[in-house]
Amino acid sequence: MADRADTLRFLPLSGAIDVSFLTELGRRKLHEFKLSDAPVEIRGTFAPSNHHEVASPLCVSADAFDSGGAAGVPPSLCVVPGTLINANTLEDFKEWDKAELLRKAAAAIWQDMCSGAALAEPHRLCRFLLLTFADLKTHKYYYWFAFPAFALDPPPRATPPAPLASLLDASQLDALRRGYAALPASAHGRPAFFAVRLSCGSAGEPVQVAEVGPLSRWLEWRGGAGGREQAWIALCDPSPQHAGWPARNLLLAAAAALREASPAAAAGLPSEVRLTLLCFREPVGGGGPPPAAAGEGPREPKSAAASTLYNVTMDVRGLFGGGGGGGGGTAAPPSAVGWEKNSSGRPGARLMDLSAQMDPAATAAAAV
Amino acid sequence: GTAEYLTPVLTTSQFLEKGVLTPDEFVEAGDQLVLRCPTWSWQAGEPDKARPFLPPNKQYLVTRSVPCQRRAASLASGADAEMLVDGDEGEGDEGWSLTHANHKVERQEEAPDMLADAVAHMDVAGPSGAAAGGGSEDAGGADGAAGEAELEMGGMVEADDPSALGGGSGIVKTRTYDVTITYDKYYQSGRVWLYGYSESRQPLTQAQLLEDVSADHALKTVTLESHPHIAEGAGLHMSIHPCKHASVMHKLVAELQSAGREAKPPQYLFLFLKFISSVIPTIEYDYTVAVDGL
Repeated sequence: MADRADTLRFLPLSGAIDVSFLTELGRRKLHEFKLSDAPVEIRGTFAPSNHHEVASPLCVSADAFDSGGAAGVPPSLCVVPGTLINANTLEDFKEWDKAELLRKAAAAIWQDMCSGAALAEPHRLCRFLLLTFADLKTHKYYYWFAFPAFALDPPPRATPPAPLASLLDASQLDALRRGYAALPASAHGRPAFFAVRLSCGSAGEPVQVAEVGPLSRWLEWRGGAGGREQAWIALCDPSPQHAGWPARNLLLAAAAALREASPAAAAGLPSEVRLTLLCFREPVGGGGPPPAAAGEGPREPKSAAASTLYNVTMDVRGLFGGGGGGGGGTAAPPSAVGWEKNSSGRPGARLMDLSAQMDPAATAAAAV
Repeated sequence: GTAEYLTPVLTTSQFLEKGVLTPDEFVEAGDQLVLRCPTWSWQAGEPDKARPFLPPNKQYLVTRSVPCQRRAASLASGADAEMLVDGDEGEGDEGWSLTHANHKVERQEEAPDMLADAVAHMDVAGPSGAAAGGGSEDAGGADGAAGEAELEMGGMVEADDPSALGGGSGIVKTRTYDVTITYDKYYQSGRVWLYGYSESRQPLTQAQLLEDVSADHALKTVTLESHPHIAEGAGLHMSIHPCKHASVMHKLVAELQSAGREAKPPQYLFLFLKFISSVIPTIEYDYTVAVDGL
């Protein structure tokens, strides 16, 4: 199994701001934030990928400022908590200590991984930062997203992804989809992370999906039935082919939980952790029966992205506080990464220029 | 406008007779769409723009970040895929041409490679060349890049990250659209609004927007206006003008019925979106439920 394991590479998330967010940001800047550049809690959303070559972005809209978790978010979307920092000047925006900002956000995630809070409340694993500057006079909006993750050394490795459909037959796939759809929605919308319990039967028998549950069940499922069962950690994947970015923190949280749960704690733990990661890209249909009238049939399916499985190997030596770790102290987090690349593929902020949209003369001309 | 203000709210159903919709029927049809195609959701919009004849939290429907991989003109237009839906008031020439009614986008195998080439080219060109290097896309292709070059981080901010995928990942950057459907009280129908973003997340210009409208409709039925429920600050949205919607819907209803099928107001938006997809054939929004017999 360990053969052909290469560095597992993740597709970075891409942040998508829509203009409604910018107009709302402008309004709050004028009436609410004024000169404050204190962090503001916001939310973003992403959908699992449903195109085989188009990744789903993390969207931030006007309703990003609505508090109260997932209220008003369609059930097809996963909610991601984020932190907005709106700088007062372009100079501030440029000079802001991005490394420190990212380090702090990542440290909070690390804390949640080591304490076990991350498995119980998986929305803590996928967070984002959004640094903005709104030039309200020229209608230019500067922004930069970060999706904090950790650069591990050595990086996690994985065998080439196996299509989910090669492991599960149609009825089992369907059971998995239904199990996922039946998961209770949390205050954070559609669960982005979850766990799957499988029974393997005796050798040669096909794998059966036994249960789909919240991520917090994964640890207990993992060791179940004397090795006749296995458990996968799963991500609703915004990436259509490669493992999506949020899987990075998921894997690390799972590794941390294993480490924590092992009674042998320090002593005889293997330095390697093996996990099975499911990148889930199944359509989750609407509920309820079709509209009463006749005349519908299933629509020709799109060339949808397919779910894949990775067997991941992580070298955790020294990651979680050396030998004597245990429940107490946590080690220093690995280095944080995650500032988004610009449209040229280099680390850098983005600029949305609405001046053409906002210029009264231009809009009048366009409206004719 | 004034005409809308003066028009009384339609209260009795005339869906079968005229293809029009009451506000209540719009809400009912919207509920079905949200239920069946969860990428759509209801929005409240700006409170001071709320229409009193619709529930406060169900003023319009939205689906966001809908990919649009190709320009409408690049669709192979076979005559067999075309179907003329006449207006039913003897205005045959003005009728809707229901091309590409199945919303199917044929993939162009070389497209991703062309994009990858363009990106590679831009990398070689370096920061200053990035703005000029977008030759593969027309006019506004490299938009925003000029302003972004100066925002790049000079020094190394982050550790080396062998786990991150860079370019050449086979993932295609596309234009995306926010698609909304409002209720038009004057025309007593749904009305579609589009706000588009380029591959590099810049708002599309009017000329660029028109590239995603089928040639049959580009200059006839598309207008740029303020969205009725969204703050003016967002700028103008492209709208498909609803003056013919009722007659087309009536025609579609008649065809369903002549095929021995039932037509009811809750189906309205599925039929409607299918017909709208002939106007914007490459914007891949979801209306999962196919309506046969058309």
